[in-house]
Amino acid sequence: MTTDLWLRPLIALGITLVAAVALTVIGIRHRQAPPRYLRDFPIFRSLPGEVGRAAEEGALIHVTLGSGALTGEDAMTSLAALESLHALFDLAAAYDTPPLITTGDPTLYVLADDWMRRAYTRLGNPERYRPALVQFMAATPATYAAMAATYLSEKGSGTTMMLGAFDQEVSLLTDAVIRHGGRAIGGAVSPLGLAPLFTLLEPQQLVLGEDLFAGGAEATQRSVFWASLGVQDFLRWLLVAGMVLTALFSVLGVGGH
Amino acid sequence: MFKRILPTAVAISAGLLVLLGAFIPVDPLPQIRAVLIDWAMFVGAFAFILAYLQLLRVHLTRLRRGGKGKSTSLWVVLSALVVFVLVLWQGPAGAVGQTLLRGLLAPGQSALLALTAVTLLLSGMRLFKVRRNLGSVLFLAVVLVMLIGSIPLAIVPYQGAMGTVVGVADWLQRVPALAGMRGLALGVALGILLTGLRVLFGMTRPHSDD
Repeated sequence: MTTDLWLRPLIALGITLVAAVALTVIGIRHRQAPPRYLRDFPIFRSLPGEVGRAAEEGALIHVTLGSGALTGEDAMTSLAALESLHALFDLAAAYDTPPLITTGDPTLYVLADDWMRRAYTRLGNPERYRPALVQFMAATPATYAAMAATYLSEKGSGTTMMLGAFDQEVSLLTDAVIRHGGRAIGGAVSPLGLAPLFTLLEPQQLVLGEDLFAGGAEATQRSVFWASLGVQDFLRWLLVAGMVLTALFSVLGVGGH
Repeated sequence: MFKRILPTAVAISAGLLVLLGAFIPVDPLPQIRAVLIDWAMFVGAFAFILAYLQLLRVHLTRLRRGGKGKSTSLWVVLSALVVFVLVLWQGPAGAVGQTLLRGLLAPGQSALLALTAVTLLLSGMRLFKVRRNLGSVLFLAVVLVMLIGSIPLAIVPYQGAMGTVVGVADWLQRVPALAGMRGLALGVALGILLTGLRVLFGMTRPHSDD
């Protein structure tokens, strides 16, 4: 029992330290040119096109960020979703066609509002920012999804982007998109959220699980994000090797229980 | 410069202290960690107040302007204000607040969640209509097997074909579904770890200008 108390935190600390060192090394090594990996994310490359389309057609882009609180376990998921939309915020501010951003968590609302406001400030147009375009809808996920879905029916939407911490409540949104038309892209990390999105979206419009964390790399093209993806791949293979070895040892009866 | 350095310094130092407090149970790290997490909760509570005020502002503006959605906004504003006053008067454990919670909010949540079952079913039916490929067929076949396999024993005895279906449903849940979910969770955990480390090292600064 005492060993377990120390062992698990030590293993977690070990993985974190390995990740930290790998991130530093790969980040420094690839500072000049971003490393490119064999991954393709057409969904994130299509975001600027959506802004252009919205500017031409006068259609609304509705971004739903989910209910992942920044004080909870979904904080990094929500942050990754925001990072994926970084380029969209900048372009939308440049075209003055800001998206309607809805959130199901107050802390996420504050961050999204800040990011959108800063996009306008970077362009030298802070006075053009309209606070009403970033909204906190409701504190519970199902109510949030229902409220966001009613916005689709009231305002109509050219494109709906569902990126963030979603569970099955996202099916209320996908149903609204089907009924009211318009384009959609989406991504979630939870299987409960991915199931409804899978039924609505084509593969090139859907981001599954950890690919949501790759959006920042495509959106910003910064080497630190690409390095981070590289470290993710490295750690994944390390863990896979560890699991295979553990299974092998278990089959061979090495190492006891 | 001050606007960038101070938030970054606070974020990095707080993040490091919380992380170390989680991994190293040596005083005073766990105590510092607990204090910092409490402070984060306080800030989150203030964010709630900000978000609540913004919600009221948006819907009051919609009421003033009129047009579509006016009735929804009226209900939102009335319910937000009435419940706020009631809870302020009696406290969150007061009789009226508890009645509203148990009699209105909880059933409403349950109704919305029940609605997701219907919307999921409709989505599944639509999938086969719009995308007829192996993935869709497999998806729907698994859904069908899981739904049938979940029928309670009291309604249909697990014999013959039904027993086979229940066995297949159980195997699907215990083996491929669990394996897939664990694989997904592993990838997501790595993504979360790296995103957190980027913030911890100041490589990305969501809290300030970058």
